[in-house]
Amino acid sequence: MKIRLLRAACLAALLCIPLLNAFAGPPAEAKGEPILIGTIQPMSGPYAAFGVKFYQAYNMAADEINAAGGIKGRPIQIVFEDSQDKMDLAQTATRKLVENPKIVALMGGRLSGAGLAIAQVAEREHIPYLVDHPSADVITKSGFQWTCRLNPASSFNSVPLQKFLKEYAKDIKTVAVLYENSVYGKGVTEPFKTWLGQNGYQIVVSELYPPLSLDYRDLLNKVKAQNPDLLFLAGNIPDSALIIRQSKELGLTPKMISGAGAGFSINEFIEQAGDAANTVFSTGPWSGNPKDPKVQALAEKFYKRFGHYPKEHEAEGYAAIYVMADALRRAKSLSRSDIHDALLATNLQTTFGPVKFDTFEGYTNQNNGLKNGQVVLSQWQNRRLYNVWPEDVSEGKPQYPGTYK
Amino acid sequence: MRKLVLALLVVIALAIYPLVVTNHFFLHLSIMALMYALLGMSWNLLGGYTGQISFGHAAFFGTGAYTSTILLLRYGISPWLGMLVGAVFAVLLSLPLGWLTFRLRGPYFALSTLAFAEVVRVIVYNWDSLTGGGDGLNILADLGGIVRFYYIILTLTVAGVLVMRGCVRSRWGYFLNAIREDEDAAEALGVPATRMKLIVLAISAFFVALAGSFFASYQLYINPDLVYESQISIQMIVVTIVGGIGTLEGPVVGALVIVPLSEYFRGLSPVANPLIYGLFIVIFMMFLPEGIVSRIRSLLGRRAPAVAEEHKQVGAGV
Amino acid sequence: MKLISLIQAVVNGLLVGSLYSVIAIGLTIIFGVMRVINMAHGELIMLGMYVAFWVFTLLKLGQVAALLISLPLFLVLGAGMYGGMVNRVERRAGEMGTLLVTAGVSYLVANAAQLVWKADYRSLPAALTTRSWFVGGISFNYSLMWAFLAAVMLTAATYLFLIYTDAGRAIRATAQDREAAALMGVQIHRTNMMAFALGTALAGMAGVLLTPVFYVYPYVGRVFLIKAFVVVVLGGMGSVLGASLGGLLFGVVESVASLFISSGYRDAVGLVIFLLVLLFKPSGLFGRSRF
Repeated sequence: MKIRLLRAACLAALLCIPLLNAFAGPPAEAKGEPILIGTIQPMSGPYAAFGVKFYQAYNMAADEINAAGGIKGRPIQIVFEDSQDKMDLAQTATRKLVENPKIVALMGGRLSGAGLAIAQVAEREHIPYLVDHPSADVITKSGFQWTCRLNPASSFNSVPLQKFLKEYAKDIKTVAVLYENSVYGKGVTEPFKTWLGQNGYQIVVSELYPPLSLDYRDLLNKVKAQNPDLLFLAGNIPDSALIIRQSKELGLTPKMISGAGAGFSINEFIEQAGDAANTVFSTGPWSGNPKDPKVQALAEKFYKRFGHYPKEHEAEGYAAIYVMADALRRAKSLSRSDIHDALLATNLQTTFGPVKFDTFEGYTNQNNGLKNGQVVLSQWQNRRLYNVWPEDVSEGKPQYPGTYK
Repeated sequence: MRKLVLALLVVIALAIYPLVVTNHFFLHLSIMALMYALLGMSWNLLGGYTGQISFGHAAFFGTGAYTSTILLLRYGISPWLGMLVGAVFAVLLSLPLGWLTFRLRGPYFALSTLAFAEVVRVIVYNWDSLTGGGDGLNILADLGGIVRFYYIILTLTVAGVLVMRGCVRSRWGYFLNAIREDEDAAEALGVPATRMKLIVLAISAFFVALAGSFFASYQLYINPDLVYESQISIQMIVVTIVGGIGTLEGPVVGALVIVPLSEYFRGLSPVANPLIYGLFIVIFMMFLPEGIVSRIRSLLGRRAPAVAEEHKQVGAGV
Repeated sequence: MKLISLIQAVVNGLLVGSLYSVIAIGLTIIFGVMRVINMAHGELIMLGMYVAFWVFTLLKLGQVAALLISLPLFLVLGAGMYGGMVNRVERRAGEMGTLLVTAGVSYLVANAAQLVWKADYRSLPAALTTRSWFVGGISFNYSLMWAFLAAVMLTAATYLFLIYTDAGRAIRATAQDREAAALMGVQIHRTNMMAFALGTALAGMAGVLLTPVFYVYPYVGRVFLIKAFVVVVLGGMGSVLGASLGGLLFGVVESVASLFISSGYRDAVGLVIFLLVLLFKPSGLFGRSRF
């Protein structure tokens, strides 16, 4: 009977699970016992695509470092734990990594909520945690001593969009805001809403939606009724792609649609949303200064190896490994506390820009290398994401108003 | 008499357990097992003894968890005190639930409890300012070591057993049986069915909420999906079915069987864990619906004491 | 509130509602005949969705092929589930037992699907699923329109089956009065199996129709199960007419309500309706009198 077959299949699949544990990093040039760095990423689940980006970026950076001799002859190896981007699983995964004495530091997290969960465990268990993507302000605003963050906090995300509105798209008056009910969604959008209010914009719709909903038509219908000039969205895939697709389907045509990084600035977005995503903007962390030859070289290298250009996630992950390696080299010993000290003292130029951890404006150990920089407004044109604002880091002209028919 | 001595020995053994076993993993397992035994027992009072199958007990679990956590985070109230407050809230919540749903029977009742729990979850999820919405709440404080938690849950569970036993081995036990077998006939004979059901629901909710608060303080992190999900309700049910629905020891035995298995599988893969629950429900309902304890009893040829024939099957017959 | 938005909401509601109807009809037939609440109904839908997805991805065939494959597949699955499990449990543990065992199956199947197919959200290529027609400013999604038509046809076919075939009549008779039907020579056991198989097939085929419209992932069944229950209770448990009309009504109510309430509470709308109906008119719009 079908049920028995299903059960047999399940049992067989279950037995294959131990094999999946071979997700450690690739073999390295440097000999010697590998230095283990733990990371918690979504390797499965709806956000698995993000985990893959970090997997690729980390391993590429680690390969390069190991080929050049590693850390004093020892290769670094990244140990991946799957969080499915679920906070409770992230916590369990973190605890598991922490309990392994060979793991000297933690990285990653991906989802802001997971980042917070990991930071708490790190603070309790005294293990250094380098945040490379989780962006919620609260992660570096809670006074954690053992956590430092390379990427911009989420309240920085909308800054390039704000500049664009003030300097270029001055005819925009009304704004609709749809953001997902999560640490990330709120972290990116609340500061933007405050700024909108302070600068005379009218917020005609503001909806906090449950992520991973099946259907956004009714929500978008509500937005269409208000006919906003700007539609601001903060979400991950698959929601981001679905919203854009359904928005096109319903005939929603504002002057500008902008996401806020995450689900709007990655290849999966254009893959899933197709032509509906053309001329959609995204404001958020950059992927390095496009005018920097090192960044260009990295982009080409990445494209050759993985078939797509690196964006914010890959850039963050790649740079983070270099930051970690730099700290490991400078550390007095490979104990967790010495590595922690070395990390906090980082002052490094990376392909993500300068990295220096500072304490300012309530943030602790937050990278402020470019003073509210390292964020950019980009736009999807011809299925590629180009930086369009500010001009000094742009790769092309913005197409405004966008065409969303 | 013999049973009393046996029970005392068991309690003493459980009490000295952490002094003997120091492995954190095993202690964690025991804590989880005790918690699920408590949950199963509480559900069993309403489900196995009174015959009202509820799929919505997660509502009480979550209420306990959130109440004590919010009180701790906002007002600095100790979670052990918050636990009691949470339990009282759960009881208050159970009153409208009971009033709404007890006029329904059988599957209608079960579905309505499911819907009710979902409504509570949606409210908690959306009431961002109070509950932190989808992100949940983190407890940053240090609430004690694993041994302390073990003793707390042991105390709660023993208390639960005593209360359940008191309910069941009394006149109330007869009433509950009567309601389960045939509510109308029971009422005709003078059993205050609705009142009894409400009381049982309240007791059940009280202990489930205590467990919820405990869970929150132990895990130091909760969110609506974690504590309000129907999975919690299902787990309570599985534990009871496996052990023996309608028996006192059933949920305990069930928890001892299920929890170690599920934690082991959780280590293998995040998905294997709930799969086990599903598998166990199906297998047991097909081949051993009366549960382990009842089967052992009938194999031993032993009859239960006069009050509360504990080895009755779930709603046997049409 | 603009009129056009309201009309759009009604249109969306009707289109999606037709799919709710198909799901609910399957569930209500199973309940009407056997008094079994199939908690695993959602997972059957999920399986149907995956069937359509794999048929498209691996065999490069369209929905019609998927429907043709699903019909026998799910009929057999349903008959097997009944004969191998539900029947046995019902005899040993009654109504509650079947409720519990189908809940267990639901858990089992959803998690097994996750194990086998991963938790990734799948969907058909955007090019196929976002096409829509615009009539007077109202958008009609192409895939939804097709699904609506298919759903209407499935519903009609089910009706015809129930009214004009012997098997169908047996099902209705058993639903009305089991004992009387048995006395008239209806094979109850066989009828139960047919009803369960029919309900399962409807769920699976509804899943196929849903694939272009919604994301496919292992736990998607849960979402539809709740909606299906709401519709079944709304229409009257055991009433096929109630399920078909109730589905449309529910779809419209959901869509229109979304215009006025915060999106987070959208799911609660169905639950509240559900509770209200159970409290004030548990027999639903059509009750059990009409099939």
